[in-house]
Amino acid sequence: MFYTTKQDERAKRHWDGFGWGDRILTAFLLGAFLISFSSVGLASVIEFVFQKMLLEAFGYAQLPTLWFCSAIIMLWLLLCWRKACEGPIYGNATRWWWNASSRELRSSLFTVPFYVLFFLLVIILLSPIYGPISEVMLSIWVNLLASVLALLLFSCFPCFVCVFLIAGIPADWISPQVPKYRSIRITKVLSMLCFRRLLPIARRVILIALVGSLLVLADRSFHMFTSSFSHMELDSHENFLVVGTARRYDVLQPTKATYWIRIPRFPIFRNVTIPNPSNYSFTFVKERTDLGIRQVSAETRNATYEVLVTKGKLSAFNVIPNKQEMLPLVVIPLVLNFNDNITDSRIRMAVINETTRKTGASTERKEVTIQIINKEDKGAVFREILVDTIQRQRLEVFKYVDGKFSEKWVQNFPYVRLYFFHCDPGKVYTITFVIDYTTE
Amino acid sequence: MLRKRWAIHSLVVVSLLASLLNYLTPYDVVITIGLPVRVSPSAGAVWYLANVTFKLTKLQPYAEDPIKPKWLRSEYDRNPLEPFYFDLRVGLTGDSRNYTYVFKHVSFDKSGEYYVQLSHQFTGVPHGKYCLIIEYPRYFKAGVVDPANWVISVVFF
Repeated sequence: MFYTTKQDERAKRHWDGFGWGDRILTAFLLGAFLISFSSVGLASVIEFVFQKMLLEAFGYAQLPTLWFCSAIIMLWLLLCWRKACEGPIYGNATRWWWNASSRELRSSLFTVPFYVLFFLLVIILLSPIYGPISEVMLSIWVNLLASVLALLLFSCFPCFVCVFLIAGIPADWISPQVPKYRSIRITKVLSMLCFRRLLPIARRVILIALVGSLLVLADRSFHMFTSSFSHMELDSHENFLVVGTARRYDVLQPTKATYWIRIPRFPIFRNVTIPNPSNYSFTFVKERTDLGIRQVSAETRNATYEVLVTKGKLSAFNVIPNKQEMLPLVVIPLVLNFNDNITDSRIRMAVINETTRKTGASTERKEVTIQIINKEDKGAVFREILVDTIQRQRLEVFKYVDGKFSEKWVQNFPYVRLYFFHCDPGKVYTITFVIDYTTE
Repeated sequence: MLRKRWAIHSLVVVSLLASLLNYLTPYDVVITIGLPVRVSPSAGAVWYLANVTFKLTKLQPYAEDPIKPKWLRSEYDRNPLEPFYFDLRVGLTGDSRNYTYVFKHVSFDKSGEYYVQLSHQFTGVPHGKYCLIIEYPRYFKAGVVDPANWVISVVFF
């Protein structure tokens, strides 16, 4: 179908010399190579769109389907191309198919990709209006742009290369084209691009920029096509949590963030990607009961979610509302429970005294005094604070709070900890640990 | 041809401005608060806030503030001699804007359990982060006896 019809071409003579078996084999090899090679770019785009944007979660079992679809699309594009050329593509390629194709096709082959790329750029530039998901939107559009470029480079461009190679363009046709790129020609071209000639291009660019802005703004303002956030509720009324050691500790704020996702009027993009809001918790757990200090749990209603992990850390949630809940302007919640690291808190802990002395021939006593200050307006829970490490088999620990005996225990491990100590707002506590142990 | 171009440009610019204006128009935030109330012959009590929802609209005509007490059941054989009542304050505090509204004299004349729903529309609330404070009564007879606060941060996109 795509082979040249020009009798005087080397490729045509080569073809005529073939037997039918050779022709079928060559066509099969050529077609298989073209389709498999050209579908890589499309498959990557489709895979990306399925992963990030479209309605259903993507499974790798669907890859063959995607590959098949992209191959069909590419074949269809080739057929359209052949129809537009009104003859075999290879044949037209040998006599520069550009002249054979219609003016509309020529212009659309350049303008449509240009407009698409420009529109994507506009969207990227305008994405900050998407508020807290702007970074995610930015990465999505950058990836999409990269995928389009990859499609152009790895699918369309090799396709053209194959066409020209197979068409057997003679060297004497190529060589006159080379001097066109000399610097003197470039200077001439630049001089031709005077202001008046640039005006129509500038007008189109401005129009495209305006249309791009219009689409984004209209989508954002009237909730047209993409799911968006209605509002977010941050509940951080729980007491502070202090973890770590007496010398190096983190003040955490247990937080419950509820994201309300609004379904658009005409849903096209159902998914919403919510970045992990925590600066401390990066591990996902399904049940809130298993929630550790570095873990995030999620609950949702009328939707499902999938977790996106980057470099071993939880980076975002991809929320997919259920199909039966896709009613215009309905809001769907996603509740995240996590801990935030508070860097400017007014909770202090310091070791103010540390002494060791002999109490017998083979016994020693170590005293460690820590001071805890809470100048915040709510309480703080000191959870398993490592006070000291003494590498002995048996430790007898006495705890005093503000000079008063509090508790005593005996342990067979070397780590002395302050367990779940509650510090009321505005209070200062001095806690002394007296640790007896044998030196042998 | 020139007119057609201008028509397209005008259409795009007008649509863009309309979208932009709509985008920049501040929200009307309708806050609905649900709270279970228990009234005995001697006093009333609110233990917690059952449900607080936000409805975001734009260019909405101002609506009256409905107070909907729904009587559910009663285990008491007599009613209070005088109706008990409380005031409930709702505050929305932003970086540069504060909104406050007080539901005055929410009264109950029968003993038993109620589910009360209160709604208020704050108009002209721009996008941003706010601190919502709801001051409700733990116990009440005539006015708030023992107030409690419910504080939450809200971000309107």
